[in-house]
Amino acid sequence: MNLVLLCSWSAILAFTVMIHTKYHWRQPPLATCFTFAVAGIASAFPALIYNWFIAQETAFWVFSHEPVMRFMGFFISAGLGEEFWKMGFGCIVCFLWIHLRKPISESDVVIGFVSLGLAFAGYENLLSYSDLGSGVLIYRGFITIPIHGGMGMIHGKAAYTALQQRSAIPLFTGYAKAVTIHTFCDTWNIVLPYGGMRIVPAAIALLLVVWAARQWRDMSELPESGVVGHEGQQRAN
Amino acid sequence: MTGMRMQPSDSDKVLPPGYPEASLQARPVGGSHLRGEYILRFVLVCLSVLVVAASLAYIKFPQKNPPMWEFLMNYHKQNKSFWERLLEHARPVATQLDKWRQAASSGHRVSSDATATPARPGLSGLTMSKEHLALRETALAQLVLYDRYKLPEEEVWATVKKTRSVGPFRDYEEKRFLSEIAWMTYQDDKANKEILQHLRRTATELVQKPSAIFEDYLNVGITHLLTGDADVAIGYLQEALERWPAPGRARGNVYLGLMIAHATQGHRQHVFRMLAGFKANYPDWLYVETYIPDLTQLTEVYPDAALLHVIHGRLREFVYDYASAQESYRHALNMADLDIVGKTTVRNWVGTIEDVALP
Repeated sequence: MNLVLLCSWSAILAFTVMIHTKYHWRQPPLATCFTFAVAGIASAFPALIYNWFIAQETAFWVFSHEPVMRFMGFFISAGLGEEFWKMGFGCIVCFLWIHLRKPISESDVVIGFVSLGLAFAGYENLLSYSDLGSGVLIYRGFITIPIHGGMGMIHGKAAYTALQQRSAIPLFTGYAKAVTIHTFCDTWNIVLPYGGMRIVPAAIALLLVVWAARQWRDMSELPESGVVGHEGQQRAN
Repeated sequence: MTGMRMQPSDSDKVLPPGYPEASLQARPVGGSHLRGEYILRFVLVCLSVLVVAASLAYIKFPQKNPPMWEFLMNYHKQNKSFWERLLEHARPVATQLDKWRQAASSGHRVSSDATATPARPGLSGLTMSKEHLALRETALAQLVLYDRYKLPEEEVWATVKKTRSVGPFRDYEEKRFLSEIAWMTYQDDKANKEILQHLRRTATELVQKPSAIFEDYLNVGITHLLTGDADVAIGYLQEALERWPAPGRARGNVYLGLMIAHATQGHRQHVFRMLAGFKANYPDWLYVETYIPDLTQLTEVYPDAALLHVIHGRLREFVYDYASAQESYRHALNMADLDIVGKTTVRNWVGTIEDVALP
């Protein structure tokens, strides 16, 4: 139990803070968050398999001596791969929602994707990093989990914009942003000159958290129109 | 087309008191005809990109299996999975390894039953600074690559030189690395006396550094032993044995070296006492083929040391190689170096073999 808490403490903390600072007028969408969190945990498995394939069968290995290969390893595995699996599983939940005619608001979508990112990060900690000692897990609690949560915010905003515009373009742009940030978070020591740059991942995490907090603060917990369901649709027509 | 979408208004963003309960639900985004095909499009396109990327990587950039990759993969395979660890309900709070680490980090010597006894401070490598440890680990990894995967010496040395660890330990660690490389070269070419002399000089320099550890005492002891100065070697090997942090195969080598050094100096009491405790101190005592050649090599350096033949015989006797044991005992008995007490003891052993083992 201690291990599980050590792996997920910051995810639980972030989620609790988000719920408590937003939902004053309505019940927090816990079922929504739970669904997305399950999707996040499920997305860890294909991500793990994909990363394993890249490391096992190709030269793009994240511990390669060649910087280009190392960069490509992070770009394909962590950047393209993990971000897609997270966003893809979240999108599938949204897709099911649409087919089930469930009402969706921006805050619901965003906190859903954030929950997905946090659950993914917590589960990744358990699966892949829990044998590396408390120091690594505490570090990941301060840096990696907030970064994954920030990615969830990017995914969520992109997904909601896509739902609003009924277009895939916001999904692609959101995905591209997430891939870029995630890749840079993992490859800063390859891209930037070494020495004195260890603050970089912490700075990225801080910036992401600040940006996500501002977005979350400015986001209404209520639907934009205040009119829902069939009635709203009729009025729109 | 946009008739179905509701445009947001500022008044809708804040819920006034008494706002109808029904309005607390979110509106459906999109109309009845919206089936989210763009979501599927996104998922399928990205999935295709991932598959293409993986396929191209697989075809155009196949795995070259660098040595470190194999190491890490094997290490990963040896580790228990998260689920295995989670399901270990009966796991003790502190494992044996935890106890060793705790004892070592607190400057205590560790014994096989994980009980800590006071030792000299600063003897353990675990008290090194982070920078020092990084350089040491890099050097060790490169030594493994050099030894097992035959990476060129220039390449591994360049990697060590590139390590950005700065401190007073730098000179010591670099000399230590080159000394280890020389040791490996010597293992392949034991007839090369120049390397041996070089090793002796380097080992003597290293042992005088403040960062010197137990292994350095072993190295300087062995080089002195191999170059004929067994009397000096005894002091270093005794020091190494006392400083050695944990029992095991490596400490067993120190024990064997010290026993041989005593044998070359004719210290019969020491040799017989250490022979009595050999099995307990040398875990690989059963595998004579791994250490007897070293003993044979030393009999060439010290041809008059009868106790070396006694050791040889006794170790052969331990593994029931009675013919070789008897031959070594007889050789020792014919030498003038062995005193009367030693000869009596060896005769007893020979008699036992003749009575019991060789009909």
